[in-house]
Amino acid sequence: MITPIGESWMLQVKRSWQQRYGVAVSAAVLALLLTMLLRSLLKPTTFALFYAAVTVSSWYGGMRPGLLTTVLSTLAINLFLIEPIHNLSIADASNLIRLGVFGLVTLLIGSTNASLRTAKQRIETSLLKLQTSEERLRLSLEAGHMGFWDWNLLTGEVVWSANLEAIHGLKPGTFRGTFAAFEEIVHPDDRQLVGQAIARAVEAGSNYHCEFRIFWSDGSIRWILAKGQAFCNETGKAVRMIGVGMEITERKQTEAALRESQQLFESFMNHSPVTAFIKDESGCYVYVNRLLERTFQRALADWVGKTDFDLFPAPAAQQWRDNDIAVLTSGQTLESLETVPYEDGEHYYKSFKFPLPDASGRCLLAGMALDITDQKRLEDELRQREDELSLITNAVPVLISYVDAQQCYRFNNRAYEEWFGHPASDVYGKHVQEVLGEAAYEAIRPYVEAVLSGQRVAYEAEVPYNNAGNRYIHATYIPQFGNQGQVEGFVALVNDISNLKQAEAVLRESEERFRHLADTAPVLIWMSGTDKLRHYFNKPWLDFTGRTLEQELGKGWAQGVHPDDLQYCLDTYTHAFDARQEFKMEYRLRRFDGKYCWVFGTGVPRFTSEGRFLGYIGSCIDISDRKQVEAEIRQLTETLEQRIVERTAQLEEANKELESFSYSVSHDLRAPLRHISGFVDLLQKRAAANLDETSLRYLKIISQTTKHAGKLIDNLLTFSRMGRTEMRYMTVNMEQLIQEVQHDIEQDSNGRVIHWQIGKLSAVQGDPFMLRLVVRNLLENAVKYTANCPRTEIAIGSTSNNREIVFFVRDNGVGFDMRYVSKLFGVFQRLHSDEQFEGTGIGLANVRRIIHRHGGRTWAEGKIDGGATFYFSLPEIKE
Amino acid sequence: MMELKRILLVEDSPHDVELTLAAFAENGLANEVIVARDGEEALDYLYRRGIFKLRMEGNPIAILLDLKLPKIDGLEVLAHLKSDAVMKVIPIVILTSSREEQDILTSYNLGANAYVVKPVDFHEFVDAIKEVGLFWAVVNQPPLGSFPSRVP
Repeated sequence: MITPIGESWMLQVKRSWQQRYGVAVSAAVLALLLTMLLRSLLKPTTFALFYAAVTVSSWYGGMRPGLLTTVLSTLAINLFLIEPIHNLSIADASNLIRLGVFGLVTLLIGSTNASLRTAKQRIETSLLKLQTSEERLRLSLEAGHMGFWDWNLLTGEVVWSANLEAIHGLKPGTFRGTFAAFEEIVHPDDRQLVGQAIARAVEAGSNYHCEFRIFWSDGSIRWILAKGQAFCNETGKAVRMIGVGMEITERKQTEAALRESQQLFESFMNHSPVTAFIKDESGCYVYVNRLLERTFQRALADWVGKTDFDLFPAPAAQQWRDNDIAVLTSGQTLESLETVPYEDGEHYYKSFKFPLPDASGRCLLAGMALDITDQKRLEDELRQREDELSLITNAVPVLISYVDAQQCYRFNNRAYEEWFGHPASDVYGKHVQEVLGEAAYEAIRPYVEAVLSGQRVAYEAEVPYNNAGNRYIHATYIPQFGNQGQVEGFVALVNDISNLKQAEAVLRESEERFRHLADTAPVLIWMSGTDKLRHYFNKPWLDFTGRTLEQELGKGWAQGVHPDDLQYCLDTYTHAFDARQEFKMEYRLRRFDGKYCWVFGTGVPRFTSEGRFLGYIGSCIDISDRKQVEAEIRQLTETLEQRIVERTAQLEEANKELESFSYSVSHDLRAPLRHISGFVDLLQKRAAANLDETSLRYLKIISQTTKHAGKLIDNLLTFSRMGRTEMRYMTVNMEQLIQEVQHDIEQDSNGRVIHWQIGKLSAVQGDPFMLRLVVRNLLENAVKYTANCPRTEIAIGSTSNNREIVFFVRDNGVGFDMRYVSKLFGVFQRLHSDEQFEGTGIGLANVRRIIHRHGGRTWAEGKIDGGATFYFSLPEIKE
Repeated sequence: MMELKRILLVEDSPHDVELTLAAFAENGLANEVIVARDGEEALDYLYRRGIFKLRMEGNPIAILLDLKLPKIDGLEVLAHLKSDAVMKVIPIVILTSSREEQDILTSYNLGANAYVVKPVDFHEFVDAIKEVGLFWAVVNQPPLGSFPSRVP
């Protein structure tokens, strides 16, 4: 450690008398010895070393050791250096003078030295004092993180104490000793400040005081407080400045922290949404925050020193004071609801009051209060809302609940009570699983987890509830998010759709049946809504067109219609649709392979049971085969017509030939028979007398056979004619017809007694001539085959249904074997021999032919010897 | 005795002619029956042409006309006569084997006065001739211009 005062000055002030006298004797002896030794060299100033010895002795020991050395030196010189040697007597006057001078000089030296020494000692003593004081100062400076500086304004030299260097972050002895070196480490922002302070001190020769920042060599910033004094010379010019520097970084930091803390407090208080205040024990305000100032429009100054009784109505003040006292006496924080009178009425404050001891040990009272009037009003409103909400939710036939994130019920409407039999309040706070039961919970669990992950969930499921049975539900879960976006719970809306589901199932089954039917039917089926757009096509349709349902939907199907048929198709569809009428149309529809096929489409309007129009349903069948056949038929018809013309011509020719043949038969075949008959007869007449019986019999047989052949020909011709001749329809009175025929027959029956039984007969449409033939045939037959009966009974009648009239002719004759009934109406078919009953076997064939030509039927019933009944029917007369 | 009148029988079959004449005879209808063997001959007679050029004037009181005739058939004869203003008044009885309706209808349409089908049975034939002869030769009043036949 280097101080401004040199170390060489540091001498021991107190020396023992032994030391001092020892040095005095030693100095004299040493001077004698050296002089003796160096005598030759020292001549003529032989006493020089003794002077030195006296000087040393007196300097070292003071006056008395100096005198001693002087005496000793004088003796030594006299004894050993002045002739006679080794004799104290002075032989010579000059020697005596020499010795005298020597003595005088040494006495003078001794005295001077002694006074010098005294002065020096005094100095040393004060120096020592100074040093001590300085050391004390140094230590105290060091302890106070201070350093000392001394600035010679004349030389510009700056001296810093070691601890000042340390304060400035410099190693001892490294400060360069100039103002510039100091200024270098001052924070650039503060250099001006420092400069000005110094200038002021120098100018006025006054105190210097400055706080500034410096940079340490490690770059850190420290605060320094420098104080000093400028000193002036006689002319009043400042020549020196001395002072101290101390580090005040910590203090500065503390100050900053304090300031910050103060600002924080102020800021808090000024921005606090709650009112804050501090009162002393007597209730006088010490502090109020800005909100309180603003609230009551009274500045802080108007509060301080006043009590609530000074500022507010007594009841309010008393209320608050009571609370204040409670806090001060209990020393506990008090939370209470206080009312505050406002112009617009009472406000509610939530107030916190607590004791606040201050630095002086006084106990103050601090408080904060929050205006919760709005909140209270909101709460009231909310409660009312909740009541209303309950009223609504309870009226809804849907389960409504709010479940929190822990899956516990937080709200349930009354529907829960209806479902589960417990009041909704019992369910509150319980876990879903506990309320619904294990099985039900498992069923809904995935959805609950989904909604709790933040998804909105809607689903339908069958849920086996614990207390509410199996129900088909439709549920919607809506998550509720907190401010942070986290799911806080969810609202569940649950609807029992069991009945709906059942109905749906029935509907679905019906629908499926329809789909199945529609998809397996070999027809193309579509359906449309009231907007004319088609919304359904069955599988055969899609298979046929080879398009997807999506492509066909709406108006898409029309793309497959042949462009030439499209307008017609749409017109038909649209017109029918608007009139709600059925429609039928044929058009070409593109098949999956691109070929257009003819289809026959129909459409009928659909209505609900209430008669509301629903749209159309329609079907199509592929009629391309039919169309092709039609085309072929058309072509065939054309050729056929040609062929018919040709064939007709051929037929006409053939017919003519046939007619000519018939004519020939009728004419040419009968002529020879007539001739045979005629001439046999003539022969008989002429030769009867000359002929024997056998000959006559032969002639008779010839005659009869001829007659039979004639009849056969006649009947055959009739039969042929009945098949060919044109029919002339008219209304025929069957009763009259039968009467006439009956009459004719009776004429020919040779007086046979016949019991006729004729019922009421309907009139018919037909050819009168032909029908007469029919009736005649049947009546003749009846008469013929009853010829052998003792009593002939013939019954005729008719019955009718709405389609036909059936006539019958019944006799009680020989009847017939039903096994041969099929032969009855055949040409030349006979069930009896000619010997029994003559006949040609053409009559009934003719009957059948005529009746068939009239569109009727013939049949018969009979029994051998049990009579026969012949039936024929004719179509009912149509108006 | 009744006054007998002349009848024209147009018939190609000799057997029929004989039988017809026999029937007339059997019934005592001794009219003068002129027989034409075909239509041409019949017309020739009526219009006094050909071999009948020199015959006496006067028309028969009736014509018994067969339909199936060589050369000109009965219907042609009928049509011709009925379209002739002079001849159409002569009653024409179709006497034929044909029962064809067409024939009957055509005949009447052409103006035939009667249509008689010759029965195969001789007795019936005789009856038919008898009735025809009686009616036309005796009962019926022929138109003017018909000549009475005289018994030869």
